[in-house]
Amino acid sequence: MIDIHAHIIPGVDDGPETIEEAMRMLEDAAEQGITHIFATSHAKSPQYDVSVEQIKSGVALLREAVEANDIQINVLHGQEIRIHSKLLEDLVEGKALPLGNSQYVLVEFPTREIPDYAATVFEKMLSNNFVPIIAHPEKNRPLMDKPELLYKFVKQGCLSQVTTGSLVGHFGSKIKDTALSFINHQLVHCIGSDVHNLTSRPLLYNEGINELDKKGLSKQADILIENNFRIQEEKLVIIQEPIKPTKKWWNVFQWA
Amino acid sequence: MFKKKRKHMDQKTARQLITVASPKSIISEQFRTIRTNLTFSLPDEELKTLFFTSASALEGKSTISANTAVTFAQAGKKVLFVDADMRKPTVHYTFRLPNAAGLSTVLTKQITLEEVIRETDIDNLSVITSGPIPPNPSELLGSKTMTSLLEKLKEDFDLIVFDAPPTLSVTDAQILSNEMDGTVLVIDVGYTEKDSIIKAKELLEQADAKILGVVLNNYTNSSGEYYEYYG
Repeated sequence: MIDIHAHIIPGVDDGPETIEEAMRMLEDAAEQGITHIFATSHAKSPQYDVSVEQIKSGVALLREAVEANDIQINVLHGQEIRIHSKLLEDLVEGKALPLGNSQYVLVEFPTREIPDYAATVFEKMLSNNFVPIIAHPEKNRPLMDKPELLYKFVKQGCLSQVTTGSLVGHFGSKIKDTALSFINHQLVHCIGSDVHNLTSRPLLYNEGINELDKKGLSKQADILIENNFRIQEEKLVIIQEPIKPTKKWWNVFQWA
Repeated sequence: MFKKKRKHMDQKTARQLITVASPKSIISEQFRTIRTNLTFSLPDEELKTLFFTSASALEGKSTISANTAVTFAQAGKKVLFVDADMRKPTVHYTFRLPNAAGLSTVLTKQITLEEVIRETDIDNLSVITSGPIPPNPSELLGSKTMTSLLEKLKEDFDLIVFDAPPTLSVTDAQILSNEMDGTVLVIDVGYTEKDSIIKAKELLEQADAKILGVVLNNYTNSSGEYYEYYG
């Protein structure tokens, strides 16, 4: 399996602090059956802005260490980019990284807002053959409150990535319910762990997928996993027809 | 620890298509009948471009055109299925493809034709999705670029099947049907008004469309024998 969202480069953001910790995380991931992991450190976020050079040298460092420790996992480069108005320009000039050499770009919204220019930035990216993947929409406040906003972005051609920890309730029941609802509405296309460390933000990859199985969403789980493969192989992903989320009077509290 | 099924999926992407999912069913047989009837409808000319439209929305154009395209591909023809409905496109959902690039981006010359022809899991069948919804679909479909694009596609494929918007609501179908070898009208039995069918036929005839026939959708035969009127 493939993990498309992980903070594993040591000492650059709120991921692992030391290479030893990073190695233990990678070992854990390999044990859970992950063969390829994208190192997606934060970029352009107010707290952390990890440069392309830092990512590339970090990935090179991890690859060496992985080989030295004989861990069966491939580390690939990527970035979790906080949305900003010059995102396309950065991608074209090589100042921002897609996932590996693919056309897919992991984009993060600020937790409490969706900037007005988001749709314009996505439009520019899509018409230049980049596909934005909205990272963990279930953890974004406006999207939780108004799921139809996510529906609009998906209709536009964006993809979205659910975080495995959200599915097992690691961030609370509300985020879990939102995540499951998004998956039920076919608004989610791929899955990532958003792993930061071994303790407070662990991998929980198989746990998340097992949770989907338990909820009778095995088919959706299969598609999420398949799409991760396709992203890594730089192929086109499977896109299902999104279902428009509606507020029904008897469950007004569903999104409250 | 994790199950075998968590590897690559072997499931076909176009599983909603009945002609793919259950090729031996009665419905698939009906689609093969449509194929045969279409093949014999123009005995002296070659049928290279086939156009599906209906009077109003939601009559089943996309489903019927997609399945017809599949049956032609299954018969060994090299088929291209084009989503010419740039208002409410659905083909990319049927084949579960991205739609960031497609017919609209080719017609506005943002991208080359080769880049938008996508192969499907079905042998001999390629697809062009609609692309992002443009502000001026009729102008794009009536443009010279569209005409030259058609010529180019005719060289590369044995048959090109088009899914189009409904005839009565927008002019797109009229514009396109004029350039097609054959047009098929899809009618939802018990839903479409007779008057609108007649009106749609008139509009298509005004545009010099060659109407090959009508497909009746949702037709139930009370006698229990399966037989769908077509012609």
